Amino acid sequence: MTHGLFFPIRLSLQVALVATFLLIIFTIPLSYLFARRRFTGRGVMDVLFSLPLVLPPTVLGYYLVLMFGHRGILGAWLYRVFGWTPMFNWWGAVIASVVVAFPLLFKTATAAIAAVDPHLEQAAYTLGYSAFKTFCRITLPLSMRGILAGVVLAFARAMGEFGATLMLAGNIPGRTSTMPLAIYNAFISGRMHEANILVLVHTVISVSILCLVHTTGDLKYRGN
Amino acid sequence: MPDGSTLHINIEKDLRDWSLRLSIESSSPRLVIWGPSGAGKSLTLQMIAGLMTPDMGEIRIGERCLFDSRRGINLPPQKRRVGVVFQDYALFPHLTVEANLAFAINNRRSRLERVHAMAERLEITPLLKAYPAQLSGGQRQRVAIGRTLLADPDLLLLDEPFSALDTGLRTRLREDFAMMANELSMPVVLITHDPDDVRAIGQEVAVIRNGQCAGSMAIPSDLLCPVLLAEDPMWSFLEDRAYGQLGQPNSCIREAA
Repeated sequence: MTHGLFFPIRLSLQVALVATFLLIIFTIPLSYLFARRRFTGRGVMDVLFSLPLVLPPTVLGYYLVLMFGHRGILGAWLYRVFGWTPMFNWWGAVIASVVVAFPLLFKTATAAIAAVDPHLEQAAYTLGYSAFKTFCRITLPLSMRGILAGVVLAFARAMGEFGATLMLAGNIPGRTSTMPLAIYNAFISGRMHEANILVLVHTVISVSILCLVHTTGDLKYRGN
Repeated sequence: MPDGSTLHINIEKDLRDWSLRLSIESSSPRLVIWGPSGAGKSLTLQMIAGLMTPDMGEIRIGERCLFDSRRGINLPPQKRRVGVVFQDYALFPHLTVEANLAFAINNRRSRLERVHAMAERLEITPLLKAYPAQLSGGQRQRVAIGRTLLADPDLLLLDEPFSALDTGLRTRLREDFAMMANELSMPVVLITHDPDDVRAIGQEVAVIRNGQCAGSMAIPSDLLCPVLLAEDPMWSFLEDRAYGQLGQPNSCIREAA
């Protein structure tokens, strides 16, 4: 039975870590763009990016299946060219987690970067630093607190994903059953002992994450 | 300006409610751009530094062209070698004073030496390991100036450098700066709304109002008195230019269009 319990825990952590890693890579530059540049279509994009916050997970899951399913917009192409599909495997869970967690990181990171005084970046430019070097040496360190909080929240959300994951990755025990799904399975099968353990583990992880956010929030960097 | 180079600004920029049409030419080592708030002084500074792009025109320092809309030249701020001291000093709060000063220096070997030499010159050596938040306004100003000077600029721009300080401190730092400016090897352009700054620092003043240069003149030595009088001749001189009729334009300045 422990093997049966170990798998969902390991899978949830794995999915959440990969999803968070992918999110960091493409959300931080996007946040910088939104925080610092003006461009047309910004309002529309902002609404689009906020949708996963208000749409129910099953609706999101539905759209994702439309995109990535066998006959989906991207899915058909993926299957034709690579013979691979994210449906019913753990990458489907990753995609679902990325989509639902994205607005959390995006909004937090954008706010954190926008809060950095633009004069500091301008000063760096006049002192000879390129935009990229300035981002690394000035903007990022000064917005790190907010960005980290966003990363941690995104991770927690990714770990807790249920509805969209169910539709895209399915609920296959030993293959795509993440912790929330495994809890549901155990619950409806009356295996309360299993459910209890998984619920406890998930709660402990989530509380630890919240404590981490709290600590990063309290960390005073010198100067402010 | 030392080595005979002239600062040549001739720019136009359309903003939402008004527009900037500025024409200034100066060979003075210490030029003060004076004008009331909202006249366009800070915008001018941003455009000289390359932080904002004019719609049209040119900006040159001697032979070096920084911006020329006709030839498609627009040097980024990184390449202009124009040092800026911002009004709020813009010190990097997460770096020590030493790291702030060393920011523009690429050469690792001479870095420490040059930073310490500058700190001595500005009398801030005991503050090197401190952070900007721990410093007073006057100390921050000195660090900001030191940091900019260590970048070896061809031109030093200061944006209302004394306005963030209280009056007593302002007078003292103004005098300190005037003395230091004498030893600088590069020309200085100071942007301000305060006539006392004009008196203390400038050798030539360009008056700017509503986005236009209303004339410029070398400051006559009899106006450089340190005491602010009620009948301050400096005020009437400046008022004449800014609020009254346009005076005789300097032969190098084109009439504002």
